[in-house]
Amino acid sequence: MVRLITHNLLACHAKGCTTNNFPLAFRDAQVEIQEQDINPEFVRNMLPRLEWKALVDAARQVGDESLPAEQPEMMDDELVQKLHRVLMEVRNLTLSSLLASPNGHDYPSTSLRTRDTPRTNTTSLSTPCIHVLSMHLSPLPHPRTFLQIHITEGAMICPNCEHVYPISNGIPNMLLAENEIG
Amino acid sequence: MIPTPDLSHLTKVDYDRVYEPAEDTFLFLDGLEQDAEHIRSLHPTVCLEIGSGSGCVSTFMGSILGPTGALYLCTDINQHAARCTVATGRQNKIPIDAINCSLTSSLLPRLRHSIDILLFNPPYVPTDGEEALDAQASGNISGAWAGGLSGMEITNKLLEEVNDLLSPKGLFYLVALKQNDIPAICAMMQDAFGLKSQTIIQRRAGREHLFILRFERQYVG
Ligand SMILES: C[S@@+](CC[C@H](N)C(=O)[O-])C[C@H]1O[C@@H](n2cnc3c(N)ncnc32)[C@H](O)[C@@H]1O
Ligand SMILES: [Zn+2]
Repeated sequence: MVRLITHNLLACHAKGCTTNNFPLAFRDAQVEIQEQDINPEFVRNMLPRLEWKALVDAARQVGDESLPAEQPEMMDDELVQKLHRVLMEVRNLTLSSLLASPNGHDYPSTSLRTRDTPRTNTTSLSTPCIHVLSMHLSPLPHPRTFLQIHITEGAMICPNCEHVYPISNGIPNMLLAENEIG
Repeated sequence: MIPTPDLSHLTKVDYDRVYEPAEDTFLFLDGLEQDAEHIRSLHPTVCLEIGSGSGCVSTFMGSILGPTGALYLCTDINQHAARCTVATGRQNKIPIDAINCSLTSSLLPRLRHSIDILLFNPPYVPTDGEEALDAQASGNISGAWAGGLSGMEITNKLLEEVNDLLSPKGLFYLVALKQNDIPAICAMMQDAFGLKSQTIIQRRAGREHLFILRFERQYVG
C-alpha cells in the first residue's frame, strides 16, 4: 500500500542525489480507496514527523483538496479527521467513475487532473482499469472496510534526478542498481 | 499470550522464494512478547522492520500495539517478501506498508531519529563475501541467510545507521548468532554510538545458538 503517509517518508537516494530529492512525484498512479478505524492520537503523534507541504501537494496530485496549504497551529478534531483520511486513504482518479456505480457506493467525486508529462522515457505502467478491479475486489474480511482498493501500478519520480521508482502490486520499488548506489 | 500471526495464506510456492518463519523468527516473537509491556509503555508511533520476509514479526508487533496504534513500515530486498509481508498483515488485519529496498536507504533521509521500534532479523549465516554480495544483488531467497564474513556483513551496515534512525526513546531489536560475536557487536554499539545493549532471550536450536539483543540510548542521571 503506497499510502500518502508512506509517500511522505520516501526520498530519492540515488548516487549524488541529496538535495531536492523529496517529495517524489506520482506518475500514472492507480490509487486505492480504503477505510480504516481512526486513531486521532496516532495522527497527532505522526504529524511532527511529516512534511506538511509535501503532504498537501501529494494529496492534490491524487485529487484531494481538503487540506489547507499552510499547516494550522491548532489541530482540531475536524482537521485530524481530514488528515487521517488523506494519510490513510488514497482515492482513485482513474477508477473512481467506474467504481461509483457498480458497487452502489457514493464516492466523493474527484476531478481528473493532468499530471506532469513524463520526463523520462521509461514505458508507461498504467494498467487497464478492469484488470485492477478484478484483482482487488476479492472479499476482504475487515468489517469496516466498505471497499479496499490498493494502489497497484504506477511510479514515483525524483524531482531532482528524475529517477523512476516503480510501484507494482502496491509496493514501491526503491531498489537501486549497483552503479546507482551513492 | 499474544497469538502467533496466522500464516495460513502462505504456501510452499511462497516459501520457495521467501524465508519461512523458523526458530529464529519464533525466538524473536518470544522476545518481543516478553518485552510487550515495556514496548507499550513507550507509546511507539513508528515501527520499522528491515528484512520482513513473511511479515510475521511486524504483524506480531501490530498485535502488541494494535492495528491503528502505530505505523508499521517494512523493507526487504526481496520483492516477493514485500508482497508476503503485506498479505500477512492483511490476513491478520494489521495494515503494513512494505517497501522494496535495501536496509533503510529510501527512508533514512526522512526518518532520522524517528523510529521508535526498529527490528532486524538479518541474514546472519557466515558465508564467503562473494556469496553474500551475489545474494544481496539477486534479492532472492539466498539473501535471507547469506551474511558474508562472520555473518555480519549486512548487519554491520545497518548497525552504522541505527543511531541515526532511533528516536530518543527508540528500541532496536536484533537477532544474532553466537558466531556473529555478540560481545563485539555490543562493544561497538556502545563505543561508537553510546547505545547500551542487553540479551533479552537466547536459545539453542539445532546447530544455532540464537540471541535477541535489545539496544537503546543511555541516559545519565
Ligand atoms: C532471516 S530472514 C528474516 C525474515 C523475517 N523477518 C523472519 O523473522 O522470519 C532475513 C530477511 O532479510 C532480507 N534481507 C536481506 N538483506 C537485506 C537488505 N540489505 N535489506 C533489506 N532486507 C534484506 C531477506 O530477503 C530476508 O527476507
Ligand atoms: Zn534523485
